[in-house]
Amino acid sequence: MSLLRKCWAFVRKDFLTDVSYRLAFAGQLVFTFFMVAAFYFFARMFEGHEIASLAPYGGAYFPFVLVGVAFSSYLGVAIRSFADTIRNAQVLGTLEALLVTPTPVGQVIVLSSVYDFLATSLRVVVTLAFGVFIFGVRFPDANWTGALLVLLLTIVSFSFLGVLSAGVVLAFKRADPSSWLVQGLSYLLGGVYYPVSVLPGWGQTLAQILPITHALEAMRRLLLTGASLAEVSGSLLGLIIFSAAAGPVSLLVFWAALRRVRREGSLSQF
Amino acid sequence: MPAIELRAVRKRFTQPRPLSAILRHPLRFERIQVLDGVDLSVPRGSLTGLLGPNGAGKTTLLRILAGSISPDAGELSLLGIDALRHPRRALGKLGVVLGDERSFFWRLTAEQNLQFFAALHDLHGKAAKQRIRELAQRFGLEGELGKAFRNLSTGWRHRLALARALLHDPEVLLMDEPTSGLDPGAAERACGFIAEQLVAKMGKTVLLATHKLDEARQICDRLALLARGHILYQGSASEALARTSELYADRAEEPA
Repeated sequence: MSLLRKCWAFVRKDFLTDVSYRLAFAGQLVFTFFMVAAFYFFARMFEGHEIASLAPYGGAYFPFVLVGVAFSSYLGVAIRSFADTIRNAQVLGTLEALLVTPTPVGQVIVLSSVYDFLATSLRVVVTLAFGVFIFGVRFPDANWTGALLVLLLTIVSFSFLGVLSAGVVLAFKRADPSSWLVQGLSYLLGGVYYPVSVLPGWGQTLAQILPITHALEAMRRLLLTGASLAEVSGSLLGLIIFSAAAGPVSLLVFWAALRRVRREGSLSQF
Repeated sequence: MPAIELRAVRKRFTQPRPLSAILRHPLRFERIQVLDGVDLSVPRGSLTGLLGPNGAGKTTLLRILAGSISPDAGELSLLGIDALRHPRRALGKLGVVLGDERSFFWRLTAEQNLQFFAALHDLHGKAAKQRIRELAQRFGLEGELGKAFRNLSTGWRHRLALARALLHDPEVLLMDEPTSGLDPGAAERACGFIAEQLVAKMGKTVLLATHKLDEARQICDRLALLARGHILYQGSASEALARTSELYADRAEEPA
């Protein structure tokens, strides 16, 4: 109960801060619309053509890329949010004030990121809503329950990458270059804009170690073709294995970084 | 039982080096001993000044007490709680007033800031509102609660920092240069407030780090003199003030 109330306090604080920059808040909505519209017109180039690599996802490019773009935004926020929380608090000078309370540092960092995940969820809903209500995408057979489960698993697995990045930022006071590498590889090989099957063999193999590949594969098949959870069990297993491997490593790196900055006395330095 | 007790606390920092020095001697570390076996005892209900020149290690000592820096060695006890073994429990008994006014959320109002920090101390809903009202009344902050933090004057920000440190009604308060940035009049009022309200009326134990001799003389009933990593003297303020020349004995060649 106490954790939920603390979570609410963080969400409220971040919401109040966010809406105090009204123009930026509205700007995000406008940007989302432009992005969806751009992909809609891009997709019109393929209208009337049958694309074999899109067949497992219903055959049409616009719904394919709409789901890819919408849900890949979780990767960006998961990787950036934890590290940004620390970096911003270091720069703004609030980190030490947060850490001299009895709330454990792990809780502070996770709870500081909740608003980002909620805002991203809202952006995902808005992105899909633009697709549905303005550009006519339909999800007639969607398995929404399965999609929700995959979403939770996706957030968990992506978050471990974020925790790893947060550890690096904590220790070295710089943006973590490996997070850019993971993000870059994810957009290149993870099937955000095009199916993984169009990649060369090495690319397809490498794509299998990226959690986004499994997340988008499962999400598209659940939403666009109404697949059952059993039918996407391979992708679910991929996400579970990634989380099981990355979870302990990322937590270990984060706690080692925290110990290091406490020893060095550099917690609030930037 | 003292409110704060430190025994043989040591802390050494590794100096950051330029890249060229790291490449020439990758394994050579330059270390500075900031605290070298500090013993300190702060009695309950006292207003103890931790007096020392810039760089003496006052802030490091406070940060060790607040749990944001780990000591290399030594023992730390806060109201009988082993603060190294049970840091969260110790922090629940401790209020920290940071010298840094950036430690608030500038886009939020004073009240929203206090509500947020109250939640981190497990104070929620009506209990939090009640506590914030009490503190606002005591600190004369009622008229400022609805204002954005960025629009408050430095004096009000200092008061808000005090109110925040008292949200969970801690018995012990740590203050790092609590009058920095205040004009002389405001600094005097702040000092009076600490001595009269916090210590005399509310019965708090205060450990206040400062390099200002006048400030220490004005309000502290006890002083600990910190220099070169050691406590040179701790005890009554009057005797400590007679020994303050020892604090600056080796600083003649430093730039002004």
